[in-house]
Amino acid sequence: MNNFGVVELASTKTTNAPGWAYVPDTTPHLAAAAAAASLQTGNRKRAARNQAANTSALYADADARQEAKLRREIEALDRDNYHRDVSIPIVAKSTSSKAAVKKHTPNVRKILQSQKTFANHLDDFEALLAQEKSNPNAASSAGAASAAVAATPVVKQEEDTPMTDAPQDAPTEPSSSTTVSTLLTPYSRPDYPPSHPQDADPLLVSRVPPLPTDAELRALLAAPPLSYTEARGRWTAEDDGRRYPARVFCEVCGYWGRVRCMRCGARVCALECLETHREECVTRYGL
Amino acid sequence: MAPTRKSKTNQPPSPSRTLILDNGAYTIKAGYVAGDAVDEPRVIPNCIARDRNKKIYIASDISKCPDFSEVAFRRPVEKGFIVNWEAEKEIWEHEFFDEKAPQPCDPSETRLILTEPSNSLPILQTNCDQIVFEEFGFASYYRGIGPSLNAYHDVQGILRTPRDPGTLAQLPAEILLLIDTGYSHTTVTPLLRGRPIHPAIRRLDVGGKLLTNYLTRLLSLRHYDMRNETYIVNEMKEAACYVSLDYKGDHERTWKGTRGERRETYLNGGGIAKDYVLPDFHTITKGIIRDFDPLRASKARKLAGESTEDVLTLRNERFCVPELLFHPSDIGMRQPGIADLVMQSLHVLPVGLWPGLLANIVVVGGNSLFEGFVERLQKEIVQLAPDECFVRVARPVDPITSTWLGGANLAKHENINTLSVAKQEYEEFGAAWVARKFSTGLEL
Repeated sequence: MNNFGVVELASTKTTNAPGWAYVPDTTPHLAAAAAAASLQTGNRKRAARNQAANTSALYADADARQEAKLRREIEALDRDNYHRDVSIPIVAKSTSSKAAVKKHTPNVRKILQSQKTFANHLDDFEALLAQEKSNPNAASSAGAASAAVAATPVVKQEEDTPMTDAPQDAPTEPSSSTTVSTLLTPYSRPDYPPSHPQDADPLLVSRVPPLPTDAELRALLAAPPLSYTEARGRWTAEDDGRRYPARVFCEVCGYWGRVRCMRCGARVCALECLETHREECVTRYGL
Repeated sequence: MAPTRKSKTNQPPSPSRTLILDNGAYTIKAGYVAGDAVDEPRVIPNCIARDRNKKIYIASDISKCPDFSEVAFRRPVEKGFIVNWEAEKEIWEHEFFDEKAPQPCDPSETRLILTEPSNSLPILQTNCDQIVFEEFGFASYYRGIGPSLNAYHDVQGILRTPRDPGTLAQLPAEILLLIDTGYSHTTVTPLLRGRPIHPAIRRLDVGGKLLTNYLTRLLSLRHYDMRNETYIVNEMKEAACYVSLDYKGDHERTWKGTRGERRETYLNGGGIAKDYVLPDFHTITKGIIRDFDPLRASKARKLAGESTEDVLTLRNERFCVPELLFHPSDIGMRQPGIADLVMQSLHVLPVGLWPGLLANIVVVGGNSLFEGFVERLQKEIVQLAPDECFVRVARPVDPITSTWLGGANLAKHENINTLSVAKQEYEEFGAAWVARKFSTGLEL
């Protein structure tokens, strides 16, 4: 491959770079979209809002700044020590008689010295996946989004396979109630529940969905695990209409947020909390 | 796909002693099984802590710490996965391999059963296998998904199914929907005969850590600055928080009212408000929770010097914090709550399995200890599940060590011999083979 005349030299010297990681390249696509949007609207704020339109979580009318604030707050909640970064070094043991003798294998040394965080490992993994897909064009490199979006179809497929299999298998073994499944054993307590004279009454009869066949179950159990991002529970598209709107709370006391501050848009419950909020709001935004 | 059978032929005799490590992000649950003798599991804090005098405590040493104010933690486990092996090795050595270790272990004669969360990254799994064999040198090793170990319990006993006396529990349990709500996250795992159904595993990124931090934020906004007091806030959360069965009503009972108004329920506490006496580590070493007493906890008395204790009055903080498990959108997270998560997981599976899974839901993990958690979860799932399905939710006696106990039952079960990998096999076939074997799991 013509690399513009640049030749990569193999170097024997390797350095251990702590916070270094591969990340999927998302910039050109997103930047282009943002640029196009801002060109069209001529308004950076609106462009940003349009971009964030489908991600607004709490308020339907949240703008980009509120959105970013929310995200920052959630990230802050995910830290081991709220509010501060601490680095607690491992103290070398004073009586290192055994430790000094023991030598690590190269693999172990590499693992022990690695300062990567989980986020680094996750980025590496996703970059690897993106690379494996090897569609570097704009179509698929919706980047991080593609990893997330690609996730759902995979789930969907898993969902579909057993569902499509079922009707094929069902007619072939209609007597499957008598054929014994090796995976699911029937309830074997005799005379329980006790029979009732009206058991056969069509109005009272209980209908149990047919059990999946052994082949289906085996296929389900043999399915490979999803990746970390795919397994994350997310709001699904079909829920969008049915979902209740997000609840909002008073920022001062935690009761329902029924009133909105005219200046900054924060929610409060009633006049008393609004006054408390105003004091803070004034120091932040001025009168 | 299926693992080669040739490994059977040169399999060395299995070690007599098994170390079971449920390596959680907050605590390690550890103990030995030798033959039929099962130890009581020890719960070890999985952290390196530093108090404000810059003294460093490793893992279980933290119980010697006299003053927990401003303690900072370093945790080797992130999001449930062992990420920082430098710190984890230090903790394991301190607990198991040093001369003065409380649970001494000789790895060359021990089998290790180690838990991991589902949906791990391959690189982290490989790191784990390499450390276990190359650094510690365990004779035999099984790395399994933590929730799946819970299938090795008498699940019908936990669910209190009426049975004929003398019925032997089937191990592993035939069908089970396990909800594990821990420090880093909450997962929903359908299990069939002890094997997880991978495509249906779902995760909610709300765990004990997020709840503690959220309580920290609320208290710092409304009362004292508690942002450096993670340990104290965590104790407070465990003592005072509960899952509300009537969220709206509880909110009404804790609201002070509009301007100038002071509602009756606000003044007398409404049965919800509690006073929490903060520890000062001189006279009080552990926070005390007591019923709200409007006369006792006034600031005036504190100023007058009649009372030396710092008291926090907790009102809606008590139930708003665990509520995040059911409504993560309250803080703007775009994720469904636990009950919706259960339904999402079920929707991946054939409908024929739904009745079995819904009737056998077991909750483990520290968050399930919140008062009202099981009742609320059952209520929400009943609302979402089909009417014909019978929904049962239960919690084992000790939800924190439940996974460990399941691991202990697995160690006594014959399955472990097919699941585990010997050190010679690792050396012969390599790390990739081991990873594949663990991900394949049991054959049916």
